[in-house]
Amino acid sequence: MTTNVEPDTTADDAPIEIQLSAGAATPTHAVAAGQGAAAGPAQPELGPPIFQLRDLGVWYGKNEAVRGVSMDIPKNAITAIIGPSGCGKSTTLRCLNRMNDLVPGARVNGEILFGGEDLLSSDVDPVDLRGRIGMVFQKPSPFPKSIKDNIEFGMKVNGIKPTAERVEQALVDAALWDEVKDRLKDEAFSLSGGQQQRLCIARAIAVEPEVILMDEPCSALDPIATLAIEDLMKNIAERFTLVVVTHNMQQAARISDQVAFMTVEGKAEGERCGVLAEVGTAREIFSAPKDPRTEAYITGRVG
Amino acid sequence: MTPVGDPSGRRKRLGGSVGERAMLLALAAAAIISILVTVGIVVVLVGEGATFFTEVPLKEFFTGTEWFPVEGKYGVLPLLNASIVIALIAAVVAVPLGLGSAIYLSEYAPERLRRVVKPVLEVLAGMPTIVLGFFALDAVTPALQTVIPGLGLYNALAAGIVVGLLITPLISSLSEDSMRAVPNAMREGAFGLGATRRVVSLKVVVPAALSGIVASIVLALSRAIGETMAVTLAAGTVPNLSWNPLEGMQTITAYIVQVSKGEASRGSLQYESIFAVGLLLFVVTLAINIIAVRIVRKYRTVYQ
Amino acid sequence: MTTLEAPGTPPPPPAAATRPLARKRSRPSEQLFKWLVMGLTAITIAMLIWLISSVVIKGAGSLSWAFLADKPSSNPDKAGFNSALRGSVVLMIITIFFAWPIGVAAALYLEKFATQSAEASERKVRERLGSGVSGVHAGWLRVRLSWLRVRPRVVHLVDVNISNLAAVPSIIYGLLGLAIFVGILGISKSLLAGGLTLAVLILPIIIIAAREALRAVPISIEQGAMALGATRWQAVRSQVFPAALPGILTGTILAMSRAIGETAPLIVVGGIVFGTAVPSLNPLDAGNEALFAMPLQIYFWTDQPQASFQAIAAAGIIVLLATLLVMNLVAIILRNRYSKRW
Repeated sequence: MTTNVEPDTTADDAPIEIQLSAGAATPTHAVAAGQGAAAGPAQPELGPPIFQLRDLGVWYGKNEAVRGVSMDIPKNAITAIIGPSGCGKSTTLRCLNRMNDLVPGARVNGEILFGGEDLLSSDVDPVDLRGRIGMVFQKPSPFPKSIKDNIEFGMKVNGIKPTAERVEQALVDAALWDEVKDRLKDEAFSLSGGQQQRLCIARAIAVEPEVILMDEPCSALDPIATLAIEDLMKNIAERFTLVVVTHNMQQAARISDQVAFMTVEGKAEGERCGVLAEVGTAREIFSAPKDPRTEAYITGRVG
Repeated sequence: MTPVGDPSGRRKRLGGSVGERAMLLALAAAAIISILVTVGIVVVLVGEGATFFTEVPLKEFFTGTEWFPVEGKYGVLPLLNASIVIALIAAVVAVPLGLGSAIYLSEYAPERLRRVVKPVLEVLAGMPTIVLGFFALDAVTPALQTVIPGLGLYNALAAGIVVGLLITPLISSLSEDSMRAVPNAMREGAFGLGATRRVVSLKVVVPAALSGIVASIVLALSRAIGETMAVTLAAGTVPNLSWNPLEGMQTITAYIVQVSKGEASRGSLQYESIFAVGLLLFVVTLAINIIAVRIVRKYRTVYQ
Repeated sequence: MTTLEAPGTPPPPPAAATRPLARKRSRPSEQLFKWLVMGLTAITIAMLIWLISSVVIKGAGSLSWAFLADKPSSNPDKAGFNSALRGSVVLMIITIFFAWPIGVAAALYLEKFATQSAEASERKVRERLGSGVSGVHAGWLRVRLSWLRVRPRVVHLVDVNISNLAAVPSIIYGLLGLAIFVGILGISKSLLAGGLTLAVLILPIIIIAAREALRAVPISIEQGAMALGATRWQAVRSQVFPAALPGILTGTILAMSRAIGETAPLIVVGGIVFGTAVPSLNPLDAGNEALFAMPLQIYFWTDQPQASFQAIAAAGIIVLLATLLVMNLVAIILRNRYSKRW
């Protein structure tokens, strides 16, 4: 890795090839730039940032949903966004692949640099962007098609030839292959909730994105299905940058490399708005939180 | 005498006062009247139709290619054919218009525009069919005549177009309802994979809403076949076994109107004949409706 | 980069993405499709505008108070819409008089009583049968018992039946009216026969609308009344029905606006009247009055070859559409004014 701000030319290869150990060349840098949160010391276990959020704010109509979020999201690691409900976790996540463009009346300001380029810029193509930054939602949302067609849908949309090998690979990556290999033509709705969610992850993986965003992917699932998905997240994190919104702190502690804690801040006239309280490595946040609100939340005094 | 005044007072516990019970009985009777209507329709059509079929054999009725009551020729094919031709023209008009509007309103239009456009479309559905008949005769046919020289005043095309207009809101409204019932999560799932709005609409939403869409088209067809005034005015009253939409032709419904306008005396074969073709119309539309209900039941996916 | 980092910390070097972000590009198929569905919607609306404007342009010149006040005539310059208007008024009165009570009663039964559990009543009837009643009373109780047993099936049948009836072509109702009211009951081809036929035609529509209005009243209102000791009938009559009434009336007006434009069943029942009579507005005379109605008059004029008749047909259509507009506005106002959010 270079210290150059310009995109690294060596990364023109598939992201899978990029070795992301704590490289000796990685310079000291601050990962956290949250307001009020002092930039942490050197964090050699986290790689260079793929996303750099700068003073991100979101309005839905006249309601300010999120204000002033600034943080870095390291490449090929799992970043968890936690916080009480209504703190704007999902809203922030949905900015990263411009899903908020689809919400009528939503306005996003600030900057989100992706590989050094502002993806919020109006001349960036959001459709193409979403092919590179995939997303898995809270509720499993398979299409009313066969399992195979579900996987192939995204491939066709992104101009990837849907070969049998690619379908299989995606399902293997999502730890679903053994369960469905004999019934690829079955309706996706015939799968259990946990299987449907893994199918949605497989569907996202098949597109070969660089980042996969996950919006509370386990909140609709039972504990066993949740563990299966957590394992799968850890397995694919070597190849993809994962950003996971969760309300489950144990889950965040189990899976994440970096944790961002968001909270709700009261405004005038009783309105409330989500802000970033603190961001740091999972160890820092869970063992030595700097922000009193983080500490209150993770020790169970709030929320 | 019925022991209405049972002094033990036990009746009361059984379900309120006598007056209340009588009221309930009256309500139940009202509900049963609706069944009597159906029974009435079937009895009337089958009863009068049976008299007709004692004089005109079923085989002649269904295979005869000429409908010319004055000469005693009762082959229903020209009438049935005309009803089908006009319903098909109507479908050719209404399916693109209705589906296009449904996709636009459900997937593209801003909410405020949708709230204006949808009621406007429904005005068409509530338009009395006599008005559409007038429109066909007075505006559509003259307009078509400028494009198609030699087009007669009475033609199936103009009739089919206005019937299509009539059933367009039926298709758009029911299809849009079933498209909006597709959970947003499914759309977001597709957008999140990098799909465009067109792909989301055509490859995700439409397939997910397919049962409702198909059912709406089938129901619209049934409505088109039963439509009367527009086709009577616009397609004319000459039975004509032809697939050429530029010719005039008489539908089943137009024949019933034609006979009713005159004074066909009760009991005459002509009088019986409108019940016979009415029975055919009833069976055809009922069959189509049952198919529509089956489609919805069988292929409906229930989204939580 | 504008960051809030502590001074002295070098800006973090971003990791590289696989390729630069794609610029927005035009997708012709996307644009084409959007224009296509938008265009199809616009065409539909344009056809509606064409329809209304062609009628208005043709008929506006013939509209006058005299047109509304004059009786029909074979001279298009003298022909008026008065008989048709009177006929339609009487038809609507008869239609509502018969369809409304039956439709609402059927809806009340289906929505509020038919679905109640029959088990308790069945047990009580059995007990009383066992307690040694005899004669007519015992027979009556046996009838009740068998009714309670078949009731769920009958209710299901009524349900299916009503939705099928709503889809029966209106001309079939004309045949029903012709055979029953004119043929069997011997009512002459009159406003009464026409009104009864339209009543049968809109009965399923009223039942469906009234059931929806009743369903919209929360069950808690009914339960609240019953918790105070009211019987179900008292609760429904005093609480549920008044609450549902605006919705029922809205549905009724919409059903009437369907009936007032119906042509085919009236032709089948009553034929086309060429007379110049002016029907009485008294519904009790309807059995003797020839069948006049706005759509029938419009049809008669449209069917005439002379162009001047087309103009007054268009004028008649304007009056009919204006009536429909008023009815729909009343329905909308009623709904907005009285609709409660529970």
